[in-house]
Amino acid sequence: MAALLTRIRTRLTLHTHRRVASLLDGGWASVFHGQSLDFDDLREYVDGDEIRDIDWKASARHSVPLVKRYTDHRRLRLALVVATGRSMDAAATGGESKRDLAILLAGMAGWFAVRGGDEVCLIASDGHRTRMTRPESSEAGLEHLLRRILAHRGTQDSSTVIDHLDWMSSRLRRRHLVIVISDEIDVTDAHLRLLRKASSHHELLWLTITEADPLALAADGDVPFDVAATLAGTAAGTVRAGASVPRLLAKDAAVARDYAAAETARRENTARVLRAAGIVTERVGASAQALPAIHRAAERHRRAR
Amino acid sequence: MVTTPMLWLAIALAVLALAAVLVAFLLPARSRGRTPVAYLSRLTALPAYVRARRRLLLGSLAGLAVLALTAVFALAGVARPTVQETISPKRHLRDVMLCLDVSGSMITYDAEILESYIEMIDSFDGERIGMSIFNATGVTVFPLTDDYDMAKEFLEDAHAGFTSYGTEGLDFIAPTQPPVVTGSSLIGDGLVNCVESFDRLDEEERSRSIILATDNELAGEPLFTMPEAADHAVERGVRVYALAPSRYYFPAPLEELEAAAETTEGEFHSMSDARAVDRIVTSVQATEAALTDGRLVTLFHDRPVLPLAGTGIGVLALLVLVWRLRL
Repeated sequence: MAALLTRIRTRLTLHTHRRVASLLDGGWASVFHGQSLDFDDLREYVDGDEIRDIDWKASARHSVPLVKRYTDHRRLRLALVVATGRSMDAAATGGESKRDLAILLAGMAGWFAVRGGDEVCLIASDGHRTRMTRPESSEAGLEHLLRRILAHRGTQDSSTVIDHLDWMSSRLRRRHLVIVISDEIDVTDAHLRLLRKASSHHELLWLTITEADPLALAADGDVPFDVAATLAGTAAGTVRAGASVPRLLAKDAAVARDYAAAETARRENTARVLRAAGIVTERVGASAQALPAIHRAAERHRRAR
Repeated sequence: MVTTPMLWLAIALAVLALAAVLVAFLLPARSRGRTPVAYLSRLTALPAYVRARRRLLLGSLAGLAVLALTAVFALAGVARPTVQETISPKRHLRDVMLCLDVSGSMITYDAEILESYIEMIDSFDGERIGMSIFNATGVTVFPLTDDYDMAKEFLEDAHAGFTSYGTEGLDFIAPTQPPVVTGSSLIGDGLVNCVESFDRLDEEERSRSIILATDNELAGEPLFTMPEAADHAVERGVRVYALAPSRYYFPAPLEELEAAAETTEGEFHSMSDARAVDRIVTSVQATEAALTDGRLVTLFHDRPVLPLAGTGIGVLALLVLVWRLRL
């Protein structure tokens, strides 16, 4: 039953142990500003550990540096705000389904939390409106959350994480670590107020799943079509006329130039708005980038504290 | 008129091509490479994209149109346009029977008459001539024909026969004098025999003439008298041109002959007149010859220039389009 999480955990253990360890050993606790941190034990220093965690006195008596490990007595509440709408069925930059990538990201973040004894809840659309799940603190519970993301495959829902954040801002009173997992929605100045509010009330990390480039796909002999243009009630892949990119157009230099310029402008604008709201963002295009992105986001967030 | 003898092939090819296009459209598109992407409108709403797409659409339509036109031209070429031309050589529909009296009284003149006939043949053009001789009975030497060489050969043989009194060439005397028939020089019978030699009396409107060389010296009991024979000729629409040796002593038979000839709207000429033969020929040719179509000859001319030129230009245009669109 725990198929989704098993796969994610395999991926985590296959990756460098150091990053995982450092992420677990210092990352999430930073939400709580050092309160209620009890000294647990010492262990050898490995690359990536915070210098400030080194126990200099203990290290002096040892041949290698030692770092202090702390135990968090309070339970951290992780809220995964995940986009599950129609656009998530499209391809990410790496060619995988964005939904699969979102499950991977949510699963990784959730697994770190669950393994650290923290609670995880999912804030996502149920197809009609935003719902928040009951907090889960077990791997089975996390698997259940991931399956909810998967269950929306093929949905016609067009909600975005902005809707979820809007919903969350008026209902989630307790301070959470909020990890937003979304594709490249348009984040504009109109959302700035909402984002600032959420960012000040919670610890906000924003993981952006980057979109596939339709022109690159078309140039590769692929026929990219708009996932939103799939005709209801027809065979899979039957799309409205004009909702796919002909291969010949991928060679058009003017189109490529204009598209690149437009995309750059849009991304810069999104990044600017998120930065203005004080939100740490990382971009993920393929599953191989998932773990480093989470790690980087956690590191940056800790430093930004 | 343009006909297309290979039209079935062109139609078959067109049907095949249409079927292939239909199958290509109806078959499911290749499974490879259909990737869903989100927010495609960020690309498709770009003015540059809209322009490029319109250009591509117009280019494709132009290419399709050129391709269709080229195909039509090529199929038109396959259909093998042919111009059919029917030639109908006009022919003079005149029949002339040479009717020669070879009775004893005429023997001395016959060689001369045959010479006149040979001369006459040279001035014919398109007419059919035939020859029949008679004394006690009528014999056809050669039937109506436009083979002048053959006729001339016969006449020259006959001429040799008369000048050598039967020792060489054709002997006209013995066959026309069978022992079972009494009398000789049965001119009326000979003329009737001659009249009966004309064929296609009911089928074709032809000008029919007889050149009758005789002295009209009857020696026996004929079945037809001269006026009866003339009436028969009139009945069949045959003109009789009489050619008689000059006689000063017994003009009555010649007068009867002249009367008979005039009954049939023909003429009477004396052999003393050096130009008698010319006049007869002129008269014969002056009679309004019914002109009719000869055997129809159908010629087929291929007309490949337009389809081939169209196909060539179409292929060139396609190449230019492919080059321009960088397909």
